[in-house]
Amino acid sequence: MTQTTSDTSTATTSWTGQSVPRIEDDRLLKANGEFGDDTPIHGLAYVHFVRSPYAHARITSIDVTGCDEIPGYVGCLLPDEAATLTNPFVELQPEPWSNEDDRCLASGGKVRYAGEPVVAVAGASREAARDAAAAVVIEYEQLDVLVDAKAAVADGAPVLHEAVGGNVGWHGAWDCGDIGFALEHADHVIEVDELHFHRFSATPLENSVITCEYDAGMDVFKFIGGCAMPQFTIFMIGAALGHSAERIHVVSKDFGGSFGVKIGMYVPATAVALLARKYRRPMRWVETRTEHHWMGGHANERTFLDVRMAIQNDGTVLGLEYRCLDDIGAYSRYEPLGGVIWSQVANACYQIKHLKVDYTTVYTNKGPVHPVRGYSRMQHLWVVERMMDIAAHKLGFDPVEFRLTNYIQPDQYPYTTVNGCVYDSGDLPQSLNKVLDLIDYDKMRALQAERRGTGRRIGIGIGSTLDSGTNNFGQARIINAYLPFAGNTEGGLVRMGQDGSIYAVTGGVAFGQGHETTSAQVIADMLGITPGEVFVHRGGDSSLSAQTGFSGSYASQFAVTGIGALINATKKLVDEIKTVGAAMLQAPKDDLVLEGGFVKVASDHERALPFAAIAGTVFFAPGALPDDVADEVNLVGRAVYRAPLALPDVDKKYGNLTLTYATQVHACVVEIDDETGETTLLAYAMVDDCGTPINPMIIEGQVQGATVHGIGAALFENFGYSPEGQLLGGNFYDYHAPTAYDLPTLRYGSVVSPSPFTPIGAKGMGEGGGAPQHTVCAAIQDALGADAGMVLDSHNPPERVLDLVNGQGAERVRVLR
Amino acid sequence: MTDTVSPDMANRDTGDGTASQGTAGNDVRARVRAAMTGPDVVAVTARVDGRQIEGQVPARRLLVHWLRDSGRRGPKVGCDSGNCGACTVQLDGRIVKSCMVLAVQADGADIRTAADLTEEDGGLNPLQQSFKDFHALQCGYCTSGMLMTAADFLASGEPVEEQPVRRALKGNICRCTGYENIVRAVMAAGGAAVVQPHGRGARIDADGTVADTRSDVDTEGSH
Repeated sequence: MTQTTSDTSTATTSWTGQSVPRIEDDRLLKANGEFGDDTPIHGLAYVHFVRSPYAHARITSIDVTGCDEIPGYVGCLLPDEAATLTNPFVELQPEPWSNEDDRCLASGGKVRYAGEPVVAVAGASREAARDAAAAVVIEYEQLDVLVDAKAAVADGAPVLHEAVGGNVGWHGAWDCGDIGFALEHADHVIEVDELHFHRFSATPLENSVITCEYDAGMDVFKFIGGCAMPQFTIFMIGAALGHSAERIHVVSKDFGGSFGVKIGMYVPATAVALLARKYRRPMRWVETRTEHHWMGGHANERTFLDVRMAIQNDGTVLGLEYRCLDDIGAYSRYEPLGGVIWSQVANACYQIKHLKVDYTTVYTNKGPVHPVRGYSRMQHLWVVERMMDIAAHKLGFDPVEFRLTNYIQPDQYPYTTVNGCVYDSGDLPQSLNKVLDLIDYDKMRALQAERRGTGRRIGIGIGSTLDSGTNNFGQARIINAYLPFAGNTEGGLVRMGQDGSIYAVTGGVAFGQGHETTSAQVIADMLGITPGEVFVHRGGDSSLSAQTGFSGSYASQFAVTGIGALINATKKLVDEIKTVGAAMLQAPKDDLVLEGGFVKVASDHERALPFAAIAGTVFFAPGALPDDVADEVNLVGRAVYRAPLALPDVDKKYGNLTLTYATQVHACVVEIDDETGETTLLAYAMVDDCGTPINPMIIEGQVQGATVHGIGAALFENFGYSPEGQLLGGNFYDYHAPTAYDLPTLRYGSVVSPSPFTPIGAKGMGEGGGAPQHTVCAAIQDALGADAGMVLDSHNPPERVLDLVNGQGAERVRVLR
Repeated sequence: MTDTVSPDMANRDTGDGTASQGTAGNDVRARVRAAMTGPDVVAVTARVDGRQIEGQVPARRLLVHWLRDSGRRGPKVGCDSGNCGACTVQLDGRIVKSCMVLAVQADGADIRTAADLTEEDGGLNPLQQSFKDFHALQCGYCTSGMLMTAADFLASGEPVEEQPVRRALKGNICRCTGYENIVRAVMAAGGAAVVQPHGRGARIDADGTVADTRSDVDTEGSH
């Protein structure tokens, strides 16, 4: 594949839509990338956090005198000092919940989860920092521990945040349609007492690395390291430190994964910044794997209670209701946004008319929640998928027909959900049919029948999901009417250098999604050059005027917002090139085209100027241009993309919360060993539909990656806690991230339903929507059958499957009619 | 080619406890110097990617940190516990997880990191090229370790089939790719017939569906 190096003079191909090999790859393959701990910094010191061994305790004393004995000890930061030097982090929730006192070190004389940082210690080397941290003596008085959301909201429960007054962090209720009427009059009602979406995370392979340099002369903090949402980070750190945003500089280079979680990096970054300023020395904190699992950000753990679904004789699902407790751990951080984010996909993939949800955010003594791939939507999607699946089994509907009947149909788009979200496009029936072909559905049903009673039962599962992207930040007002957020923009800048070369920088911060490549593809098409000729800035840099408040890589948006901004920026640059070209070629501007690195007169291709001549003139011979051209042109296109989203009705909780809805339908075949409970994936297939593709190869890669995250969560990965509040998955022994050997071949297909709402019909799609959890659970249920154990937990390791084989959960599911 | 690095250089702010470039004051510097000459500091010499490296290394320092401190960016730290394989290097012909080896154990060893896989002219070697062709990397953090393990597998003489490849890679964790494309890239680099990734030259049909160009790949379940 040599497209990126093909002859530029013949580059009339459209690069957008092709599987162009990635521009990022060469440096990464040659070990020339620059990740967090690779950046060489003169005079660097290292930070190590002394962390609480207890889940809930009062700090009675801190003694750091032993540190002085450690060679290379630089100094430390204590909780009282942090409390004096910082404001509490901004909370998104309204009063009284906003009274939570969250700082970079344990606040209010307490620790609230095992692994919480209490003292930050700096040393001249990694070893010195660790040794000095080991010399810190902290005494604690243990308090009662909460590791269960239901216990946390029970009367008399110990309270984590006294100032909040209880363990509820937020509460909101949705009542769309009339579920009471539907439940009363439906032909069938299924009731489930409790379902549980477990705790896990994306656990990127590079843990957080934060380097902070403080320039005392300029009063500037410079942060280097993976930061997925730079301006939000500046907002949080700036407010905590009382420091001007323009004097906080955030730089990301190569970045070993975030999947959402590194949005929470502002917390430890604030401690690193305080140390850098205090000791006038650059500081680096390199998070360990265990630290990451303690506090790097867990996905929302959600318990669904009193779930009821109304279904008609013909298989039409009318709607459902539930209460849920969302266990966010010890601090709210980005929460309680999860309390509204789920409602972007209120309907899931179905034409339901009635939905009632009572949502309570709950504090427990566990690691804090951060956004994680599929953030808050996958939990709701999972419970709807489980209920659909359970209903089909219990009422005897064919699992394929039941889904086809209830899917939103291709001719119904744009489809307005019960809460006013507008699903832009899709073809779920085609996606389902395709994915069933990919797993040889009929053959697998035959295999299932053949294996019945052999002790190695077969199950086939279907999971349908949505990946909603490009947030309307106005939805934050549903959490807190006083929040100022509305809409969404992203920024981009494209410019021409003195020799005619092209540079682009986006506000999106990539950590593996190939943004350098997809950006270059789109820009190349507009400038008539090849992607290899576009130098796209790596990572992000807040000083480069390419960011907006919502810049970053999260919420499945780059293909819309990032690309949209770059398109708008490139339009401006194209216009300037033509303005200069028109003056120099003495031709009308609208008769000019850009081709092969030249600006040409369309009607006479002999009349042409290379980009270098345009740039050289603007840079070095502005006096040779007409005054009005020289006054106007700077060969820099800077633009934003604004997502067309209106403010939702906060009181009614009604409005469009995201611009695009990519769909994925997965199917899998499992084999369950009745003796061991082990689940083996025999086949796994995914069909995605994310609108017009920019680079199909990259899309497939994202689908594969999200799939394995979901398979891992469904079968292996669990952040369980002991009753004492100790994390049971603090490393990659106890927390099993899937390996190549755990997985079958992944079979992939796609459907293309262009979005009518986005610049080029593309949709954000990186998160994937947690389809594997739906699919694997459905397959296990299918293996068990209808009158058997019921899959009511998103995590199904062998010990739980063994219980399911023995009937666990059957008593919690009732067919009321 | 021998590139002798003086102890001072090799240990510049590398986590030995040196504060030689810092501003923390002479007392720290003196204490660190004293610590550096104590019994816990050992002279280590190793050949890394064809260049001789020497250093005064604290006995407890892990090989991965020593290699990284000497400027090798290939080995990465992902787990601290020997699980993830991001730090995989070749040590005297065998692949090791360099977070499970002390630097002093590598004294006299011949070490190869991922940076040394590149062709002499600076281009990608066939395995690296295959990773690029098959989109076998996303963030790139696991990639150096994956390449070292994959190169070791391809040199082992084991059959280049899906299951042996998956087994060989099971000590290397990737959180981005789901491994599918890594497995294909390794198989292709080993000469197996693997169709190019989805969409490479693919067509979009009139009805909007994208033809899966890999339809002739064996898609049987793996186990």
